[in-house]
Amino acid sequence: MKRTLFIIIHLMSVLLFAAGLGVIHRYTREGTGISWIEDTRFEDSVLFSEMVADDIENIKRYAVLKNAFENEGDGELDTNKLVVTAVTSNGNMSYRLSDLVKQAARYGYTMDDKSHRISVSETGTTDEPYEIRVTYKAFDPFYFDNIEPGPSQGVTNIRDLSVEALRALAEYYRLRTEYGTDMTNFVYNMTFDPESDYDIMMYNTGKTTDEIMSLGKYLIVTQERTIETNIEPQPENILSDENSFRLTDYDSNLMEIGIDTTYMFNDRYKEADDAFINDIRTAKTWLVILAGSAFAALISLVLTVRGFDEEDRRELAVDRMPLEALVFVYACLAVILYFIFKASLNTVFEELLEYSDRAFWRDITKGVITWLLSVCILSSMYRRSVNGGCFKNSLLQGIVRALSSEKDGRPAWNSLKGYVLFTAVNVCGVVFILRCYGMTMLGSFYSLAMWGCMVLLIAFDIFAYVLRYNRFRQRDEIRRAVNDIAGGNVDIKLNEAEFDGEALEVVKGLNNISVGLHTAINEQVKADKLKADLITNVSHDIRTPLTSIINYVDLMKRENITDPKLKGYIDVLDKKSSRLKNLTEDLLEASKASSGNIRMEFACIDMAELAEQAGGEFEDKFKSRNLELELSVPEDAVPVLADGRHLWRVFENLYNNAAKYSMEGTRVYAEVRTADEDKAVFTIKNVSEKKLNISPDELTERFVRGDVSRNTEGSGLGLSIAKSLTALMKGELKIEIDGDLYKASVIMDRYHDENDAVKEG
Amino acid sequence: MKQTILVCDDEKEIVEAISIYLQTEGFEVLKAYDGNEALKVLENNKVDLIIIDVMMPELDGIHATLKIREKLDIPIIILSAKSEDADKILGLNIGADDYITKPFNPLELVARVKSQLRRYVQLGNIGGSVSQAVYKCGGLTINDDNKEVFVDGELIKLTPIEYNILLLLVKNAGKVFSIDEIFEQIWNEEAIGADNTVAVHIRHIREKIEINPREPRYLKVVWGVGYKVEKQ
Repeated sequence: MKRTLFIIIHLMSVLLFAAGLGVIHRYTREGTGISWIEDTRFEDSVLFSEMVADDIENIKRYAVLKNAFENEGDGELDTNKLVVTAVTSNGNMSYRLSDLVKQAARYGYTMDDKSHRISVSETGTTDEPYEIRVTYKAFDPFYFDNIEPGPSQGVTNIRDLSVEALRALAEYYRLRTEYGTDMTNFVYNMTFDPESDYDIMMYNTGKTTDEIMSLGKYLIVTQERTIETNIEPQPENILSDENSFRLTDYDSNLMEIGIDTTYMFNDRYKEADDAFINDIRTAKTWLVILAGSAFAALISLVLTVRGFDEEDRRELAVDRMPLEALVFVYACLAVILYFIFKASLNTVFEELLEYSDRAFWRDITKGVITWLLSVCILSSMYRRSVNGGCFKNSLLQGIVRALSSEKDGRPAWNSLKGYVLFTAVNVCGVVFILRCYGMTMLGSFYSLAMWGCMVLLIAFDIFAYVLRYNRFRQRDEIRRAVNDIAGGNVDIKLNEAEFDGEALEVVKGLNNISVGLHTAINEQVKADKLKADLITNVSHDIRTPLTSIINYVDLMKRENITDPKLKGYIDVLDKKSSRLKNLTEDLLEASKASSGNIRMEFACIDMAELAEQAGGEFEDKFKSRNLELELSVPEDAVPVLADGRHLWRVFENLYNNAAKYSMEGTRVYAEVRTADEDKAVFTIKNVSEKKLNISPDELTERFVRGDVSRNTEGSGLGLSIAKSLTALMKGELKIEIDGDLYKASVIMDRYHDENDAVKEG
Repeated sequence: MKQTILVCDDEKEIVEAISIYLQTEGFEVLKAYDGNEALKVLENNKVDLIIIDVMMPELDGIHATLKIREKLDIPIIILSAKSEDADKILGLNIGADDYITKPFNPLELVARVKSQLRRYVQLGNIGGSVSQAVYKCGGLTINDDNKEVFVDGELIKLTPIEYNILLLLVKNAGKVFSIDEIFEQIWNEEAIGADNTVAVHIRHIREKIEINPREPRYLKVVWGVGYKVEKQ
């Protein structure tokens, strides 16, 4: 798979990058950074400058030792020269170099004649060396300038003194080899005053000032103690040692240093130059490798993170956890990994690396671990951004969004405001008190401040509690009022003086709602009553003339009218007047039922019995239309709590509809059953004669009939009345239409108290 | 001797129509068009029964009835367009003997008039000759000896099963019988399954003994509970 390949490439390039860093680190000098690579020539480098500084220090030392150990005339080593004067228990003593070398040998310290290395043998004496007080040391002429005068000045013992002299001798040999030859690229002329009667002129090749200045790099300390040099950066601390540059009578420079930058002689400078050129070449190579690996890492990273197809970009389980949690998990992982690596790698590092390099390699390890884990997070973030937003699952963003959400008056922010203020004040107070607590000893001011702060804090807390209590009391009252309104008691009046802030707004709104609802309900009630009254009165008024019509039609029928035309007319009058009569009655009832203006006398009614009674009442009607009633009721009584007369009216209307609108010659199914523990259901089903192209809801609306037309008997109010009455008895009338199949169900609550069953009506 | 009936209504046409029906049945009819007129007529004539409307100018039917009852105990039938239960109860409570709502069936009106008159007239002379096997309930009389049933003195024809059901209910007047109970008593079988036989029989009985079967006076339906004959 491509992706795996790129992951491997990335891993390798990161490791290569780390390795490159390590290599370059090796060639880097502390504090100079990588800029040294720019100094393409060795003599322009810091390294060179440091080397020159070292050499200058060395020749100064060489001058001192030369003066201490050599003959004045021929400049040869003279071991009989007095080098130390001291006070011992035997009085003043002078020591020659050879004396001190012998003393050193007595204590087991000897110097090899060829290599001039000092070795210590076990055969030395174990005598306690006697104490002496040095008054002069030729190999350390400035010794007394550097220590405090006093009784312990120069106090040492013979063993330490002789070993010190032996070491100085070894150093002399080493420096002579180094600086006593003219086969060197390092040329010097120097005038030196080692606090003796005469100056020492020191040089190795005897070149003149001009010759030295033409060598390439030079450094000249003039008699005025200024430095002329073309070495960059200038070697430090050349003039720091006052004693070595005392003014001389000679009219010459104090020190002239030259380095032959052609490196004619095969010495330290030549070697350092070769190594430097080599280093630069290596470092440059590694820099290229570093850049290459960084580029490869970047490219492979981008490719790995982006992936190559949809599959690679699909959201993983990690991408669904909150971003912060992911970062936290990875941070934990990084720490764990680091400790594991530290434990295991430390041993390896200790074996392989110098002490100074270990910290660097540890840093590299940390870097690699951090980088790889960052890549994991980065790729997760990329997948997140592809799948709907980088910070989609971020907790912080969620919090920010919740706080800044304008919806609902920013409840999160509002609730947080007070809380943060409260907490902040308390924390500040507590911190202050704790700070003061330690200082109570210091003064009465702090004590006073502490107590004051405490009192303030308590007062503030009480104040906050009171505020909070008020808020909650207001909220409770509002909630109670809202519940009241929801429960139907719209007549609430909250005292606006008891509320403040947002609560006041809500309360004002609530009061308005209450007043509005109250008015609306009152008006509704009034309107309903008016309507019911209107219908009642109108129907009364209609009845009186209707009575006359019916009566006179009846009277006309009794007359011996033989004219068939007139008979037909009278028949029409008869039918229509009786229909009008039914209509007014139904209208009145419907209006009363729908406005709830009916008195209910609830009693325990056996639904099964009622269904049977109804069946008996309607038998003839069904028979006349050739319908068969299939009645099925349970054997046990089905008690419901209802008004018998009104429930009968519901049943009557349903049976009536079935009788009127069923297809002739079909069966009508009526059934009473107990639906469950609480419900009793009466169902009547029939097949409609006419098409039922109407919704069940419309059927129960006033004046709507299944066949839409209005030309048969009946008012179209039957179902409406039945529905209203059922509702008034806390039941439900359900109409279902399935093609021509018409089904009406009356669902009532069952009555459970058997003791009260079967009351007289 | 012709019985005299006072018809009082502010609608002249209705008074006219009623008087036509009553005259056809052989009654003498006196007419009045408000309560005061009715009272005047009563002062000057002997009247056997009054039919009175409620909503009338001057003096309405309710107050007129109250005034009439101060002196007379003749049957009063209220004829009103007001069909509310409350109106009916009020009318019957203040002394009316019957309450008919407009628009009415003329035949029913005549039947009720006759019924009221029969009871009023016979009230005095039915008394001593009650044998053991005679059960009475208001205007309903059952003579179990010769299996005859009279409603307001008129003989009614019933089938044996109808007779037995009516007898059961009248013997236990006031008690409510469910369909199953009636079935078990009459058929002497256990009532199994749904059957509206009893209900059908009851309806037939009601049609025979009641003037208006939808508003029965004797055999009452207690909807959803059963049937009973009211104790009177």
